[in-house]
Amino acid sequence: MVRLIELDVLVIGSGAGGGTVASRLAHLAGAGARIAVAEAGPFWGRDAFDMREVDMLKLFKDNGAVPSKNFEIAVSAAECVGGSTSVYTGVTFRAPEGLIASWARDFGLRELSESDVQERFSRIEEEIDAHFPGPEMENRNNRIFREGCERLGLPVKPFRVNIRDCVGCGFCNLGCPYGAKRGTLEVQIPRAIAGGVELIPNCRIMRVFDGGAEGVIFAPPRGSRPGPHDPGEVRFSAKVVVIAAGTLGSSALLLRSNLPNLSPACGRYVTLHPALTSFGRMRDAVRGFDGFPKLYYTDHFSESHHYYIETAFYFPFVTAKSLPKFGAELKGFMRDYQCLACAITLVHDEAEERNRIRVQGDRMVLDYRLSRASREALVHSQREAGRIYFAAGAEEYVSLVSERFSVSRPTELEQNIRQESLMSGKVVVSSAHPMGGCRMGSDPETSVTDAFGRVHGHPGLVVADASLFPTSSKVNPYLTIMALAERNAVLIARSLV
Amino acid sequence: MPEPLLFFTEDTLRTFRAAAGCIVPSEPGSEGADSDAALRIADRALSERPERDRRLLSTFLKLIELLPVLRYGRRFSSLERGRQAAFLHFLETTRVAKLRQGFFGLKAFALMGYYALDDTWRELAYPGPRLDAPYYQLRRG
Repeated sequence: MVRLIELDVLVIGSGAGGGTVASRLAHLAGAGARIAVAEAGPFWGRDAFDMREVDMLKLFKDNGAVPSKNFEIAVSAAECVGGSTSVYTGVTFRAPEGLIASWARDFGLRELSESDVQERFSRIEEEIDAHFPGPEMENRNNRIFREGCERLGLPVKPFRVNIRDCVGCGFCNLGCPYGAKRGTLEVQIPRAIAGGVELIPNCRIMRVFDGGAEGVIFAPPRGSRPGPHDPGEVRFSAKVVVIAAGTLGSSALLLRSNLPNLSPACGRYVTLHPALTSFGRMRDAVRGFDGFPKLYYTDHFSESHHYYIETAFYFPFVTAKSLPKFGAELKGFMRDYQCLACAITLVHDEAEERNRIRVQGDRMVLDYRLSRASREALVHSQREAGRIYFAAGAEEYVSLVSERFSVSRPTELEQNIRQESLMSGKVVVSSAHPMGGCRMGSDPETSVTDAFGRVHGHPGLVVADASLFPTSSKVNPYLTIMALAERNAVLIARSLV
Repeated sequence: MPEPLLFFTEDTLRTFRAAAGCIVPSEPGSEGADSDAALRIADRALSERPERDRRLLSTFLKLIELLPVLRYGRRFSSLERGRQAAFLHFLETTRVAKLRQGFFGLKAFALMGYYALDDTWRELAYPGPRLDAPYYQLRRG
């Protein structure tokens, strides 16, 4: 039997977008509105975050690797309450100045204003404790990167991070066991629940329509918190359905739903912020696992070559998996794991129509091809990351796009790090920031929603996540997602009263 | 392997074990990715993958077991270790994208099993879960 649940608002997803919308509507729930959040993943509490890398793959969709069809790139996306804010490091970027204005100008979004979004950034940063960390938080991995940049004369800048009372356990990406990372799991979702919003974990929505949605509630996995309803099929009626299932989920959900007059742009113009890791092996222990993992970036190459380099840290399995070798050489290199300094380079990829999400039956398929510009940027970034590590005193540098496993002097970088080594399957570029697919715009032929996330022709369906972005945000996107979701929530609230 | 396996059959386990032993070889005093403990972790992780991925990896394991017959006249799991490694290197670098991709998946699960083990962490001087005093407290004295 199908369970029927009557609501005023159904929010699909509990990450940066869904969590923000739910918290902004909580006052209406307190006044009697029926609001629920349906999250496809389980509700893992802090007590479930056991700091063991492979155990914590359960926080991610498909164990943390959703590959594109051609296997050029694999997307890491969370599937749990809190969404990707449960597994990010807390790196908080405002969208670069002028980006929102360019979206408004280039996509006919007259109601979208740069100053309005900038004001929201400030307020949200305060709400989630985003701040520039103090010098006591700099561990050796971050210091090496900073010193390398400084010796080369590259600008090195700190991130804002949204943490409070961080103890420096270093496990931010596997769920913060101390609740110090102020993602939606710790801030917006508890606020929404306290206000009377119902959280339904393990609820996979299969289809949306004007006035509701259909899905299935699964039994909670062992160790996760149970939801309010028994497992089984479920049908929601709702005046407003908020779609915040992330770029992969939201586009696929709309496409699966066979909505009349859905824009041909749905699922298209996806950007992934393609990323590659690289390692400098230092003479002495770096112990990147001690303390807060990510503090600095350089945007020196952003305008000229379209990428950032950020500090990074990875646990043993992901580190080994990313190295382009196997056998005794890999095992031997990994023995120096504690001596590895690590960075990640992130490319500002262009929004191209051909890069898209589609569905095959119920299955989501990601078609994504790295452009020539992105490939060039990745290769360039790997050489420059090598220069940073050699400047900081590295004895050896490992890039994923190298002819040889490692190089031991800067003069070898140009010759060994080459585009030919960027072979799909041998090197898998990663992505943690999928964006686009339900882009905002005024033209229903080339965009999916209006400036407030309302799906063209379906005003009761509102998108509120990174899939709204018409182009890449160029930076880690969660703060921009929250600001846009908040705007959309304000409009939803007005429509309900 | 006294407990029942969740993903591997006897045949696919034989192939996977041989490949895992090349991906992270054992050495005196140091086990490899073909240890029972590592295989158990890979087995569980594979059993949790979507059905389509499980089917693909099973097919890939069957394929790499048989492909060396064409070149060496013997199945993969009965080749000597050097030839097994050479064959895997071929898969890693071949122009056939599907084979490279299949090898990448195989390698990932072998590494997952090995690098999830506490014994491995000791070799890396990686402390694992931080149940000791908080880092900043230690630094502040």
